[in-house]
Amino acid sequence: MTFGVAQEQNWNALSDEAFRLVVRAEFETHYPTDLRFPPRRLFWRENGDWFRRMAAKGWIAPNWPTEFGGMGLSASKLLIFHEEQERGGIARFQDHGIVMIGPLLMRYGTDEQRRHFLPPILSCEHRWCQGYSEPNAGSDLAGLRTRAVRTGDDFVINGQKIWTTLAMDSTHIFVLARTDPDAKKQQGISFLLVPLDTPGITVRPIRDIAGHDELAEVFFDNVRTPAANLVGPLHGGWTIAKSLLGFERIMLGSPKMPEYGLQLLVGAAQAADLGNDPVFLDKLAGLQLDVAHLGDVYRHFAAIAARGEPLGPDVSLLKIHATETFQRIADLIIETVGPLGGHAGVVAAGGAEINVLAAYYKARPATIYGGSSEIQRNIIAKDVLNLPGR
Amino acid sequence: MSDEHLTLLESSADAFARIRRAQPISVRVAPFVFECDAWRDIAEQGWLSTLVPESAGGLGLGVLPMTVVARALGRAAERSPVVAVGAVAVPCLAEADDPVCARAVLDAVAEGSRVATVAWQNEHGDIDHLSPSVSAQGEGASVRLLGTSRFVAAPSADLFIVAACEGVGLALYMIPRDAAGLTIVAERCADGSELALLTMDRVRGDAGTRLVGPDRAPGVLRRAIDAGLIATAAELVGVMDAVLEMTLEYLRTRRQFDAPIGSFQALRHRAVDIWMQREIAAAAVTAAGRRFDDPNTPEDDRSAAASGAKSRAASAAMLLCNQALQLHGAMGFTEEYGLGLYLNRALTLSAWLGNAVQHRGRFAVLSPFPGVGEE
Repeated sequence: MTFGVAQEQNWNALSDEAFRLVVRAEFETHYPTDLRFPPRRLFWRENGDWFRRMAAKGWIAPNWPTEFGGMGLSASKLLIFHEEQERGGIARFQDHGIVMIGPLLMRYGTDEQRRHFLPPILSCEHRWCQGYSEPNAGSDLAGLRTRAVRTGDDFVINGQKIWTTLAMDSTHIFVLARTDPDAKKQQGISFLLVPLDTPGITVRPIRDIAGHDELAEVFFDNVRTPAANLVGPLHGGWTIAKSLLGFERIMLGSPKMPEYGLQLLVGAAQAADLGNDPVFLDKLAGLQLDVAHLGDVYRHFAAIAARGEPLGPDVSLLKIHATETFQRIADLIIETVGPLGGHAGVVAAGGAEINVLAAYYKARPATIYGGSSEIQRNIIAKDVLNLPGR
Repeated sequence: MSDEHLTLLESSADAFARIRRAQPISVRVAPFVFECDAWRDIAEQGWLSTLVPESAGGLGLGVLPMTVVARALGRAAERSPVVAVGAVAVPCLAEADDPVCARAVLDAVAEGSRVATVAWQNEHGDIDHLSPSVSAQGEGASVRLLGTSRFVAAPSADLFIVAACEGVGLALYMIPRDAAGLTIVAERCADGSELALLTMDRVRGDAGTRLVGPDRAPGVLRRAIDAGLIATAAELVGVMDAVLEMTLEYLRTRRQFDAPIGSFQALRHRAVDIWMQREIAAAAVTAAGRRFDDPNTPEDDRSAAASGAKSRAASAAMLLCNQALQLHGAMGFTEEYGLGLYLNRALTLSAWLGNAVQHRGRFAVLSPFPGVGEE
């Protein structure tokens, strides 16, 4: 079976610079100007056309091998691809299918699951969201209580997921559910794939403090998903979920967000006429160094991942440093604009238009989602520093 | 250089560091006296010729390998001036205008029989390599050096490579320690090592002592300083390695309230924070070393990376040492425990060649963010 559309060429045969120019030309020419650097996550109705274009071009899965319909990029080419996406301010869609489910099924899935699920991910027909957190299982994720009971050829799921990013924009959800209530908490969990249009599922958006509706609650009331949608062994879901966390932490630890924050910061400084202020410039230099050295750490981990080696628990460092750096930048933006620090949305300042709080509202939850900074520190303390437990 | 070579280099440097680390604390905190035996060992390992091109009889390995050696030395809080000589002075000697003439000195320094150091900073410790407070006056055979240079490592050196303003340019002169008119005053640093304050009162500097003339001296000196910055940053990472190891061990074994104190979350999280500081500094140093060794790196990018690494390592090391001291309680404040000698080494190295704030400023100038700063 062939997956996706054929690649125009073997990208890895190009020089890095030549490849960069090809990618840049595509993004500069075709990505809609009004969607560059949006202050919030975009919905599918807003950026769906762009990603369908990427799908038709065979560029939707730069991280997948060509045999599964991806671009098959080497580590350095993949980095360039992402750098150019970031440079162009190209917003993500709900891309868990590309980033997580695809690589997961390649590693743990059955041939049948790959045949069934990979092609619609490549065409963007299926868009996946993540069903992990629950009202009483946040930092203590393994305490999750959503139940899945094997009944005939199906699993019947009951329970509730929460903080599900862009669930209303997704067609499918991957769910961690308890399949063995008597086992030790990490050992009775399974990893299930569920179409969101299955009867019994209710998605309810959650409005956040920035006024956005990116998050949702997902309720499961006797939801039946085929037993064939179990990924990996029964009760073996925790290991699989953990293997995805490595991917997630390297993504959340990318220098992209703080680099974007630095651009906003400099825009704010110009608007506040502080572009030549020595105190501001010294603070800026400190943050520039934080971001530059985050990039050095990031490339170290990205190289490990690109070699196909497993990421150790030390990768948590990336997520902590990236998000905390981003917060310091966001805080300095507010400090820099002085009396405009409380203005919502786009405001006029110094002849320019800036969104003072865009970085702030993006930065605050970043130290909470994907495993809070405190949880990441707990992981490092235990698994990297080998400090004794209580 | 392959990863395998780097690993070999690291294990030989670690072996040396282990021996030095096994010395009694009383020796390691006593005022540093240049040790000829240790220096011979260091030279025999080839560490002083790491940055000498193969064409000049060196190993031509680059700065990245030097950082591996320096980090191992940092783990022992070793005070022998390996970086000052091997990373800063030797590259200046290797770049002499007349390489044939300078070869004998270069060989002697690389094999450890003579010690050379660079005097480039003015009395204020400015990090602009073009602003020494020594001037070369007169011409030809009657050139005289006048002025002062401070923060010069290895005051017991045989040779001082002195940066002097010459007209509107800069030149490097090689001055023996017994030169008439040269006064050397050693100033004691926190770690028991010394830096020299040189005063030059009409010290003779003729064509034979002018190592590099105004055409090339600014570039040669700047490159040598950048190498020194990256290697010193690596040494600071080594200091961090040792202090982190001591601190984690203490957290695992020290018991209070019937539990190891490393089981308390407040302290665990602080331990993670200082570990992160070490990891980030180590990544910055490695990246800067790679950038230095890449012949395609523009000069400003190289210097920006070097300053960035020094700034990072200096602030990270102080943060880590200060936290380590707190986590150890009163025990860490005793000389006998040995944390102090690393902390004192961190204080010394953080300030040498310019501190974190100075190098953040140099980074900002060399790597300006588009749209801000004076055009």
